[in-house]
Amino acid sequence: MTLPSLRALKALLVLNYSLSLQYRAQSVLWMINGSVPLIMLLIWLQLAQGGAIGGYDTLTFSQYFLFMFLCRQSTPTWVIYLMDRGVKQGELSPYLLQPLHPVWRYASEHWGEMLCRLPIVLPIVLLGLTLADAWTVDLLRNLPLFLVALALAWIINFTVHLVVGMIAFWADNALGYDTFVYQLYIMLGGVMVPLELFPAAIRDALYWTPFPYVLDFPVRVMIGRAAGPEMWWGLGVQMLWVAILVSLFALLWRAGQKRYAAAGA
Amino acid sequence: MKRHLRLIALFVRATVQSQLEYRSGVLGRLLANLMSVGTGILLLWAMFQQVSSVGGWNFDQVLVLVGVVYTVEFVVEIWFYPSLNPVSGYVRKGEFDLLLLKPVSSQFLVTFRYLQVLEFSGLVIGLAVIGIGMHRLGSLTLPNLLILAVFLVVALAIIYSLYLALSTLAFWFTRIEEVASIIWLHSTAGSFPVAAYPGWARVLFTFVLPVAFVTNVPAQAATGRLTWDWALGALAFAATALLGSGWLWGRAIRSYSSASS
Repeated sequence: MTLPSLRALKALLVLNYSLSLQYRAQSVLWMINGSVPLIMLLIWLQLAQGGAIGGYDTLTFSQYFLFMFLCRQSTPTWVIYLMDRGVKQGELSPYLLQPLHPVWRYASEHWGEMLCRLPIVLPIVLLGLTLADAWTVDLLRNLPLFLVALALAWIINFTVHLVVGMIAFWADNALGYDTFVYQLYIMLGGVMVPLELFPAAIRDALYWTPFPYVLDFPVRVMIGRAAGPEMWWGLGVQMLWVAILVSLFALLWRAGQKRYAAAGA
Repeated sequence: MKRHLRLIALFVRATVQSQLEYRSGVLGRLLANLMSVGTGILLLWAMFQQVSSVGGWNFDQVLVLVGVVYTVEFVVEIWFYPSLNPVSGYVRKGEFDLLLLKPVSSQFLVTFRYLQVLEFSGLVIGLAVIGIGMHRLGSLTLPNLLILAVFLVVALAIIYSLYLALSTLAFWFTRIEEVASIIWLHSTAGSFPVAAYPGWARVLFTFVLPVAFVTNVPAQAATGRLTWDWALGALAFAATALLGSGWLWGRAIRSYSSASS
């Protein structure tokens, strides 16, 4: 898998950004779906009225769920659907003939959508921080490493979905597994209950899976609840997951292409 | 009526046949259902490790509430989503012409076209969660079950209307395949008692995104805590929603102008 040229990348981005813009109504609905963290913020704020819960006070909850919202909105992934359609309807055939690896096409479709959402998501986060009076100096300091953690998180989440999506090569239907992965992503990522509030034994077990590194970890880097050695350790684990998942993808892709029957071609 | 029932039976048969073609998908979704319920209850349990009640409801009462959410969600998944989601596709590709030519109401056709009865397993899981919660609370009695059944039907009528109304948006916005999204949000918001939200959100979740009527009322019915005002409110809301969405559908198809011609 070679990197695409800058020109090709730019063309893909422009194309996908315009496609997302054209179908705005759908983007809005997706965004509504991604606002679960905001609902959870309301619940936890009410619960924390009587005092801090497990070390989280109203300020921590506000920061936690607002940045959870940002991370959730930055990592939506529908590549299982794309793979499923690509294999089942033979849409993959023309892509395989081109010098550009199809995975870039799929990835840039996601980036276009993110660019489209950013002008809505960012003001909501900033407004939320202001309303909740949750601006702290640490946020600015943590921002650079948060962006690194978020980028790694995006790659982990995308490749997890991609690897599952490649079931399509063998089973003709990968779509059924989409909800499966989605559930893990939401539930184990801390969208509803911060993982730090889980009983320690369960939390430690969850950290052996890639899912806490998609949402929970970047959020904690941002709000300063993963600092110092813990943060560097976390970034290291993220990179390890990226290496494992990308290799797994490369292996499966080679095997899958041999199975690919090009339906409809 | 008899003709409609025969049509529904035909639709179900066709849907089952096409589903049997992709069996691995069915298995995947069964696993996903079991897991989503399992992790959902785990999260709830983790939450109650930190607090003793949410909005004045204890763990078992919220468990019943979550069971109602799953039940409603699974009906959406096996019925409303597969049937109503393709509407936006029909409109975009102009296939809606074919539906309009049929000698049955188009609303009936799109409502019952894809009833995926094979995936009823999720529904059983949802009802089981309600049953376990009711048992733990000692409210598992016949009268409670009957009222629960009534208000589950009322809840489904409301969700159906919401879904139908959202699908009609396809006639104006062309591509909105993901109307289901809003239902998922609804499931999350509905997993908690409305009393757990701040005041303005309570109003929102009662009248705009009606989780109060769809999840709270059946859960109250199951635990013997339903009051007359909420019961009547739910019935009135459902009746209005059904009539309103039917009217909207009628308006939408009048504005339909096909795709290629």
